[in-house]
Amino acid sequence: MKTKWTSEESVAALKQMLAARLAWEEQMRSRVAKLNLSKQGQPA
Amino acid sequence: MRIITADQINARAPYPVIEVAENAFAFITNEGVRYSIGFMEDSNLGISDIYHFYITNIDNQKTQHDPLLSETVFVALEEFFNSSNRSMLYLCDMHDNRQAVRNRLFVYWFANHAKHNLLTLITREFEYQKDVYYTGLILRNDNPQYSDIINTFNGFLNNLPNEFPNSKE
Repeated sequence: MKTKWTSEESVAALKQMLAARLAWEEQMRSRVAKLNLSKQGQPA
Repeated sequence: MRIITADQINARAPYPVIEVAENAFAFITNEGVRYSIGFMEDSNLGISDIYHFYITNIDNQKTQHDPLLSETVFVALEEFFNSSNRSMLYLCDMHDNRQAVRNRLFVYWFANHAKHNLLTLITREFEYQKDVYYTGLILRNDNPQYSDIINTFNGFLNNLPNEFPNSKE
């Protein structure tokens, strides 16, 4: 487990997290848009 | 690696979910608002078994207070924390500058739904390039690496450079 951080490492980790979040959201929007979800939890 | 299934969530959640990717699920509320929730393993902090939790309002629709939404989310979180070794991070969505509202809502949900003798929530806020971010760490109180994980999380945030003057616990 990482115990010591430099500023550069912290910023790099934060940027990775932000990029991963954006990528995940884009992927989910794309996948869910194709589903046409119904309230029964199945594709309508 | 699959750590949680739709069947696990659907056994107790008020809104039925469907799996849309590994450890990622979608559902629709009674208002017709579509959400995705999910867990993605983090590789940045050097902590094993730590996942980012994401919740996305797919269409960015405005929503009314909906207790079934938070119930569904917390059933997923309870299933996630079936393993004492797992911990979870979140970073509030800030596309519309309502990240503080989201963080307050999540803390409120946690206060109302979480088993506090089982889980710890630590939230932090910080600035990066003039934006304010809200992040949180949740882990089980009996996690064998409890102190190390918190120290690593705080070390990551504490070492963001001086352009983050509001970083605080």
